[in-house]
Amino acid sequence: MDQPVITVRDLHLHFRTYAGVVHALNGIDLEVYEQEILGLVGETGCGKSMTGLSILGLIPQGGEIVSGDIIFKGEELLGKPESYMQNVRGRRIAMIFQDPGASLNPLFTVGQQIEMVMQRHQRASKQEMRERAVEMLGMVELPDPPRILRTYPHELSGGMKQRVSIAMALSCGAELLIADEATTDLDVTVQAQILDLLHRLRDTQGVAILMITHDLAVVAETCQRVAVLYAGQVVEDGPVDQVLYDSKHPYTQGLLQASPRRDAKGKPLRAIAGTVPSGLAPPEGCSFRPRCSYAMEICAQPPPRSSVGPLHTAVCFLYVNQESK
Amino acid sequence: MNQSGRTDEPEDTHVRVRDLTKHFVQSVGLIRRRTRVVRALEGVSLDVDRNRTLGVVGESGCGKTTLGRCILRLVEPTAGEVYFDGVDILKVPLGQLRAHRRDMQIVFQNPYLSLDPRMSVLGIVGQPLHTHTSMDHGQVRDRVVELLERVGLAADHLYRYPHEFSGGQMQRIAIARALALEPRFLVLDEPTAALDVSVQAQIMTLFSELQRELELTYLFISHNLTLVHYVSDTIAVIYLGKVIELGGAAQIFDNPLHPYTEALLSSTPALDPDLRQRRIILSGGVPDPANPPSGCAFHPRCAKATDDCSRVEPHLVDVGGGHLVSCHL
Amino acid sequence: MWRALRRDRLALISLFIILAIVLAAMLAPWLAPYPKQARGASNLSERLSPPSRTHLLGTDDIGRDILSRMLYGSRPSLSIGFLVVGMAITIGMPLGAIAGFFGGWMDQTIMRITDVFLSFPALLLAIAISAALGPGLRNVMIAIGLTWWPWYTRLARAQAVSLREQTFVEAARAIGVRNMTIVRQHILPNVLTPCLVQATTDVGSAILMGTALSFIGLGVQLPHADWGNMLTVARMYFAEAPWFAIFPGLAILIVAMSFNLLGDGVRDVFDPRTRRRG
Repeated sequence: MDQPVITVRDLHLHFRTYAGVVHALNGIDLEVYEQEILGLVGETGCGKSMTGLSILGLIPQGGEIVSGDIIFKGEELLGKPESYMQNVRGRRIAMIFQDPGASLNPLFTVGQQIEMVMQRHQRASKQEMRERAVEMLGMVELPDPPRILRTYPHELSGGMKQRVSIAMALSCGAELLIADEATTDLDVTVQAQILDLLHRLRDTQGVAILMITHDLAVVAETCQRVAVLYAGQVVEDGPVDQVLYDSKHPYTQGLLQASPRRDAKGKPLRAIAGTVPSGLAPPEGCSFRPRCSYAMEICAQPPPRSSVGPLHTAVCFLYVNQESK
Repeated sequence: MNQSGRTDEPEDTHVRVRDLTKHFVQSVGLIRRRTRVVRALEGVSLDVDRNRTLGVVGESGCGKTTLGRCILRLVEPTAGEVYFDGVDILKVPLGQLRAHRRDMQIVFQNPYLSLDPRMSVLGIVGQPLHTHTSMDHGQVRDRVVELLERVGLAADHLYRYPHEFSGGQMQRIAIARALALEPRFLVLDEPTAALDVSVQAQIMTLFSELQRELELTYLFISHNLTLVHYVSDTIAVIYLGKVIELGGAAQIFDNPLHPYTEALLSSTPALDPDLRQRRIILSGGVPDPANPPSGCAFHPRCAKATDDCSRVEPHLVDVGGGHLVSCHL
Repeated sequence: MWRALRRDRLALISLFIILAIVLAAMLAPWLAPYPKQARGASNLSERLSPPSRTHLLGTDDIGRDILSRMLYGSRPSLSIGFLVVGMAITIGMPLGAIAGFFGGWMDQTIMRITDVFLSFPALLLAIAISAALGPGLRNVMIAIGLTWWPWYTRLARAQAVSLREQTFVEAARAIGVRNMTIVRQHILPNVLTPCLVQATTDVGSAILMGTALSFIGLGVQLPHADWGNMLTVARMYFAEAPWFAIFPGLAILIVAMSFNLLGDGVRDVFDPRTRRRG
């Protein structure tokens, strides 16, 4: 097992709001290995976007990382000065967003914007940069790259804009790509194209991908490993086949039972009782306890992470005894 | 269960849509004003049977949202007929239209936007009652409490405001409002698109219960093929304003005939590994509705397209068992 | 919302200042040490005396206590501000809401009329109307009110245009609610907020305009006190008795600035973008 490209250890992120302190991240643990796609899946408010932003040091106003580590290729990122992070962003770790046009400035052509990224991080001549830009656009399978270089973002469709964003993100040879709901706003046929592209890029460019999404089916088809997030914690993680088809944590099971499937027409969708906690006053013990049908006395204490299969862990007291066997 | 898209007994047909067309005319350009015609809907015909669900599925720009609005006449169609229990509501004078509104209602996609943030729950759910009935405030309040309880909310929510609720609860409020006048037909316009999957499950369960208890007819619009398959009896697949395939849910899924339907099915990510098929990756994106391709609108992206496909427009043909498809192949 | 406002120290201070002045204005007859002088009684023996223990802010050219006159003078000044803005909102907001919501010829007609009023510089228009109507507090208020309503019409119209596309308005139409009812129940309440935000700052500007009109003699007439007409006279005695001009001037400055700061604070509270993450 090779070393992970990035390791997040026990990350805690707090936000100061009018209503009090919100514990957005409550001890995140995850690793992304070389050339793999790790899915980070969860519902609204679980902290998945914040995890991505924390890695890049792009936490919005009012937020503060209070403890934990983010280790990227052996270097601790937390505590590094802004100047260091600015060199990391775009060059070593890149991000694409839900809104395909989010990374694109409407006032500049696509070519100008890719060159701006390259200028920031590399020393190369105009000619070299232009050639590389054409190469990148071809890599993301855009037709007629030289023409695309001269177009403005508003002239492109959502899918094309997202491809351009990916090209920009990878133009300086990033080692980690964070995709934050990158296909959620795209049509399903276009989403299929982009997911396909990301798969190929992982192989040809050797980039690791952290795919943040709420869609379990996308994870099932695209990722090798997955981490399930609930209330700011990773409650289960492991290979996709195991987590989705032999899920151990009650929340994961609940999510899967609530998801409509092609083969389950007519069977009622089982909802998870209760609602997601607000993060204002996280309970002492397991955060899923109020909604869990297996809740026990001991769940009032913080559950440990237990191994439930090869490389498969779950944070739940149901599995604590198994370990001691 | 009635599997087909058409029915033989006319009394079973609650809503009948014939040749519905909607063109939006825009004038573009600052100096030289050109007109641009967006063909949102072109000759859409479908039937919805009583107490059944017709699913309408398509991607962005296909016109499904416009379809829902035209059927309810929230937007005036350019041409066509919409029969409710035999009455063409597109020909009804506006004054009488208000009365028909009682029988057909809509639940919108985004509950954060479809509820007036400045109105209390009582105000929101009571609005249809105040508009159409002569109930006094006490009677309205009682009825609102009844409606809230039916959708799974408590009576003490009466005086609260939308922002105090979660997305799922707000959608329940919207559903309570839609049911206030006891309509028989509901257009559900992507009602769970803005909700998390576990909340979606709750709302979909609620829809099933209500359909059974109140004998409702649904038009369920969504871009999510898996969800549409789950909830619908019959499905219409829409591409660029035209129905390109229509049939029972099982027919469409097990035997998709139109290449676009096949592509849609294979592009939709599936949780179950056994159901994962070889992806048919389409090239390009959905064309601009103002500038549709000639002949069959799908031909530029179709792997099986022939010369004919770019010249002649296909029509919906019944290939048996109520399964209709619009394709030259 | 109140919690949000509490965070803005400046806005909070401004709010207190305004409340204090309003209170002072309402209680003027009881607070003023020399009510008769405030209303006009002369006191020539003490004319133009500097601030002292008997006259905290000094006396004016006829020996009247400046503090008392300022307290009484705050009433017309403040009432111009509130009443004018109140009038402007009452006329302008519904007009704008109707124009924006219905569109078409109604929109065109209303906005043309609005444009006509907007094309005149406000102060000049106010002066012209005031001069035509004659001097006096009531006419000043009418004059300024007539120049002010168009801004609210334009503001309300812009809001109404974006509101009419909102889903909840579409939902009301789907229910079959009549158009005017939609305007009343949905458009007006949602148009009110930006108008109120604008109004908060505008009160300060209206007070300034009222003061300007009084300054040139069109407003409250002597011997009744008003900050503007006090300045008219004070101007002539500035070298000998600067306090006569400084205190009313300072009062005007503080009041106008307070409304401006309060308006900024209120706007930040209502603007979802400047609101802190929840």
